[in-house]
Order: sequence, then C-alpha cells, then structure tokens
Amino acid sequence: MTPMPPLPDTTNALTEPFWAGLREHRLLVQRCAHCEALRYPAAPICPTCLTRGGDWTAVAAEGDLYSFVVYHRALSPAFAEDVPYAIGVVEIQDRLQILSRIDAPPDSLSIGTRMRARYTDVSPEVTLLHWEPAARWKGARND
Amino acid sequence: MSVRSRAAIVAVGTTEQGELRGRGADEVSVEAIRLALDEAGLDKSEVDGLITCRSNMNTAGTDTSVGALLGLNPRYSATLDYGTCNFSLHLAVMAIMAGLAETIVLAYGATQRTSKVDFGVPLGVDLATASGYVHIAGPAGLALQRHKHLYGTTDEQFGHIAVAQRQWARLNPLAIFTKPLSMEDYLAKPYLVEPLRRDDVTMISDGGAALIVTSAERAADFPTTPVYVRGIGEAAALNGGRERDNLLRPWIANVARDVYASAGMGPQDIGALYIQDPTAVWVLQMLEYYGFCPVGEGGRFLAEGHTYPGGKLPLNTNGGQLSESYMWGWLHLCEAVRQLRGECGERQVPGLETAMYCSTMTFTKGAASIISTSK
Repeated sequence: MTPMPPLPDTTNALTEPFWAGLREHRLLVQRCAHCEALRYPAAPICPTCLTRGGDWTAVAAEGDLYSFVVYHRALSPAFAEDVPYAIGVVEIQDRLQILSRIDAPPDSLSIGTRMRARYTDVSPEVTLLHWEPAARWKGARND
Repeated sequence: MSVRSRAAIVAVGTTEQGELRGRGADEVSVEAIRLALDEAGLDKSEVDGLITCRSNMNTAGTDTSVGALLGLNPRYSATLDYGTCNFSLHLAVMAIMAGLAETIVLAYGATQRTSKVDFGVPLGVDLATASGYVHIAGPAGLALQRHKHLYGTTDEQFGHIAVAQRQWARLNPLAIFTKPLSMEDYLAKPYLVEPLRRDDVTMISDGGAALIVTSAERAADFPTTPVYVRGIGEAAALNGGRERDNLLRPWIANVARDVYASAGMGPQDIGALYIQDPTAVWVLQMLEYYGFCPVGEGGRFLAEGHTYPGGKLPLNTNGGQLSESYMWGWLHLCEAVRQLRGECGERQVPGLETAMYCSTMTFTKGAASIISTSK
C-alpha cells in the first residue's frame, strides 16, 4: 500500500496559529512585537532582535516565483501518485519566501511568474497552501 | 596564530565501497582505521586522539561507540556530525596545536545503502514537506534553476560535471559507477527532479574511510610522504535559511577568502581540486566562489573541458560522490592525499604539489583545506 503524504501536527503550540489561519484560507505569519520584522517559518524568538514571541498577522498570499523544480520521480513513496509535480519558492511581501506545491502544468512556469495561493483542504484539521499562477492558465478552475 | 604546515596527514585508509551487507557502521569505521594504522606503521596505542563522524540519518559513529570498538583510551576524543571530513581535519589541527593530542585518527563509517536509510522525509512535517519537498535534490534543483535563470547556464554545460567525473571514476579501481557516460547519454536521461538528472545526484553506498593526522615534527617519522595542511577556512551561515539568496550560498566566498589567506595562496596555486558533491550543483557553485571562474561563468568554464582528465584543473579525480562512492566527502580527502603522494596510477595528476578540498554541510556550513607535500 502506498503510504499517505505526511501531515503536519497542527496542535504544536508554535505553529498552531499558522495552520488555523490556513483552515480559514488566510496566510498568517509572525510579526515581532518589538522590531516589527515579519518571519516565516515560525520561531519562538525573533532572530533579528531576539525578542520573545510575536503577533500573528495576515499577509497577502501572492508574490513572484523565485525558483521551482519538478519532481519527475517520487523521492519519498508517499508522493508516488503525485508525480510529476512542481514545487516552488514564492516571494511574498518583505521578500519572505514560502515554499510549497504548485498546482499548474510545469511547462507553464517560469521564474518571475506572478503566483497566488490556492488553499487545499486535505483533512478537517489540515489545509495546505499551494501556489498557482495568478494569471489564468489553460485548465485553470473557473472559480 | 597561523596553522600553516603545523600538522600533516600521514596515512589514509579506505575500505571496500558499495554494499557491505550485514556490517555495522562503527565496525566499518574501525576497519578503515586499521588500514590507516597499517599504512602508517603505527600501533593503535600510539594514537592519542580520535575524532569520529556521526552517521548521517542515524546514531552510529560517536567517539564513545567507535572508541570502545577500537579498544582505545586516547587523551582526546570528539564527535562531529557535519560530515565531509574537512571539519574533522580542522578540529584535529586545532587539537594538535593546542597540545591536546599529537597523533589523531579521523574516521567515518556508513552502511546507509544496506540499511536502507530513508533520505526522503525529514523529521517534523512543515508546509514544504507536506507538499512533497523531499530529498537534497529539491533544494539543489531550486538552486540550479535560479542559476540557469540568472546566468543562462545550460543543461549541457552543467552536464560536464557528471560526465567528467565519470571519466575520472573509470580510472579509479575503488569507484562504484564506472559505466561509460557520454554527454549524449547524459542528455538523453530523464529528469529526476528537474533540472537535475539522476547522474547529478550522489549515490548512497556503504564504506569506511580514515586518516591519521600528526604534528609536522612527528610527520617525518612516518614511512609515507607527509601531506601538510597549508591552510584552512570555514564559514557558518546558520541564519542562511532566512536570507534571500541562500539557495545560491554566497557565503561560500567567505570560506574561499579565508582558506586562501590562511595558506597564503590563490586559485592559481591549486593543482587538483576536490569539491564534495551530494549534487553536481555544489560543484558549479564552488568552482565560482573559489575563484576558478567568475560567479555566473561556471557553465561556460565547464564546457571548456578544464575539469576532465588531461585538463588544466583536474576536479574530483576519484569520481566524487556522483561516481566513486557516497562517503559524505571523506574519500575526496583520501584521494587528494594519494594524488599528492603520486600513488594514483592511470589517473595520476602529473607533478602535483598542492590540492584543495572544499565542502559544505547543506545550506548552513562550509569548509575548505589546502594541502601540499611542500611546507
């Protein structure tokens, strides 16, 4: 039997607000209460000014494609049914880089392509943020 | 305080590479140590330092476990888990200069092939992992895609890394992948993680390697030609993951600056170059940052053929991790030592005096050593 793709622990105290945000189809990242630097992924302390904690703030889930790859072979059996699939790094505001799956034909992609979030509910607890080109591509959903 | 030629490598030991069925990593480490001791004409009781390398993805390889199997109570021992042997060599030089030990054995053993270690999914699932971002080919592919975008590097230019290393491997009896690989063959292969093909990514294999390092004074007592550590450099990009262009690892240029300053040398002094290569992307990046060509010109430089047998910059003359064996870079340093001693038969680089070994620990640490038969 093919193993299922691994799912994150959405109850982890550090990242729980991030996953809760995705469930509501919003992208939340931490903002340092002292120096206001945005950070992703989550961290218990601001690596810029070393202030503990941070406030979760919604950011626009769109940006430019910084780089991408296409998995033609599953390098973990959990993704055997997904190949070929693309993974990309998208730069959102403040040049935060968010890496995730791209839901689009790989040959439609190039560095610099404007991307937007596509929220993908995979279980009652887990919603993943995938990326897709902001401009309509052939085969795109009609919503 | 300068490290220049204060310590020397006086012996290397390498086990059979490939599939070592039924063997444990620590046992393989000790076999490599025994081979190095034999070459040095040394009894283990004369070793007063042990630096081991913890296995990638499992718990074998600590100094306590290897030392127990080796039956040794050294003055000094330590475990590193960065791999590549460069960090281990540097720690040995420091321990010798600090007087903690005088003759130190460095060792690494791996049985990741036969124990079927899963290099796919890391511990802790984040958004990236849940999306299928697994294996070192992921970030390496992202880095190459970016390089292609910025500098116009082509598949064929990049392919010269794997193709040249295979040519070298075919001259190396220790090498595992020795089937001929032409550029035509390479380009005809399907992508693994586009833009990387299978030939651009390390194999996983079992094996052991060990080196013996001692003070320059003591080195004269050994039967082998001493290979002096002329200069060392390191950089730690521990916050790198939060910096914009960390896929391109620009901080490697700092290692280059420091290793050349430490040795009082430059790229023009390097007769053979060794670059640790979990993927061929590492070779492309380091050729540029170590000044063998300008940043962005790596593809064009490779296409000129300099790194092939007979070229002006022999590179990974063992075949590297792409063709010789995995061993997390340890065999690169063993090969450099053997080349400097003139022991490499058909693949021997003529008149070689100085070599450099450059390595990295993923996207967070870098190290380099310049070694030479002259002080």
